[in-house]
Amino acid sequence: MKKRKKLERIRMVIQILFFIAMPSVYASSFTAVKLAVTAIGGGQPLEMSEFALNLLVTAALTVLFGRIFCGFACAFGALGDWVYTFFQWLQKKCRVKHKVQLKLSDSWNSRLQYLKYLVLLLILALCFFGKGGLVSANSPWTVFSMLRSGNFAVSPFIPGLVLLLLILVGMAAKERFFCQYLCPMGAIYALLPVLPIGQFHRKREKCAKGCSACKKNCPVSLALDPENLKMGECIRCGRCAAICPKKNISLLPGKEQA
Amino acid sequence: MENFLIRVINILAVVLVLVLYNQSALTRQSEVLAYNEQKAEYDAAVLAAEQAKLQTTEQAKMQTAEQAQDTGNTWIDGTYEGTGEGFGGPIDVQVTVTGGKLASIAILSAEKEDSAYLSQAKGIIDSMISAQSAEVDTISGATFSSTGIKTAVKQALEGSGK
Repeated sequence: MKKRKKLERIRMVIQILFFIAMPSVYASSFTAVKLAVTAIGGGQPLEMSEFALNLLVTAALTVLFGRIFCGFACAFGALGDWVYTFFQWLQKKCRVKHKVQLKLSDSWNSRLQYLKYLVLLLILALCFFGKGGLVSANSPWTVFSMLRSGNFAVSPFIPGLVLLLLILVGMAAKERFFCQYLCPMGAIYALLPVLPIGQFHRKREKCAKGCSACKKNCPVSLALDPENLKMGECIRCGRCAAICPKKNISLLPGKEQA
Repeated sequence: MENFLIRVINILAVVLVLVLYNQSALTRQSEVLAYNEQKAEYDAAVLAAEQAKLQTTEQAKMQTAEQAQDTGNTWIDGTYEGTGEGFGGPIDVQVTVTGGKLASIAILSAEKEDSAYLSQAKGIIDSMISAQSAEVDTISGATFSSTGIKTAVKQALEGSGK
């Protein structure tokens, strides 16, 4: 338990630092994707930009270490984590009998995790046909960026604001709600190959029968297995490794957890 | 391993497609630029040609206008004959037009004219040639003869077209 709290604390500190210093990396990276698709839709050659640099760096990081960006640096992901933690803590404090919490069956969870690919496809289709402006104008990310930088003149962005509020509700009820069900940038990162060195590994043969503590504590409900196609959901929070009673889970294959 | 390899292959395929796309997009872009340049050059050339043409037509018009102002007339090259009534009888003249101008006037016959008066009247020929027009003052003292020559030249020039 102590270990888990320590890890979570370190992760939160890093998230705070990024939230303060580099809060729009996720948006920049996705803008690069939108611009590229818009260019292709218009028959224009692709251009290198600061956005593209963001995208390439975060993508490279993901190939090496998995979605540590999502887990440690993304401001929107951090927002989700804090909203969830605060709301659950609030309910605990107020001794709410039936906690408001979104609990889904595995199959539903799995299905909803595919939704973000649909969101990605929709946005890219709009960009391809030259409607990228529509996306930015109505994006909850646009509103969030404005609020984060202290700009409260959000009245021209009502649809985006409404979406943001709905997302916040979801974030409060389910951990990493946006990241696993809706994030188009996360969808791209989830599709990238990850080097074995960057993956969590589990020694299945040592698992206690019927345990699945890792899965139950995982914010994205993953059954840890490098061959699991859903491993792209893993945001590297490290909770599984911290909670495993048999210390089966580690980053490097064949090693006991440090 | 399979998971990893599938993803690697997918990513490489995507990158390949993007590179190929970008190549063709760049080619297309440079071709469009070249076409636009050429078109601009062509349009400029057409414009310049039209302007030049306009200028020459203007110039030609001005020249002819000047000419017309100087001479008041332009004639078609050739020799023309005409007759006029002198003091005693008809006077025949032959007018030669060269280069659109009155080149020479010759008296073919003037039998009934008094030689003294005729000699004086011939002075009108010089004035007509220097004025490049038949509309000149008659010679005082040989009015009838010079009028006869004038009429004859006019008639001759009618045949030459103005």
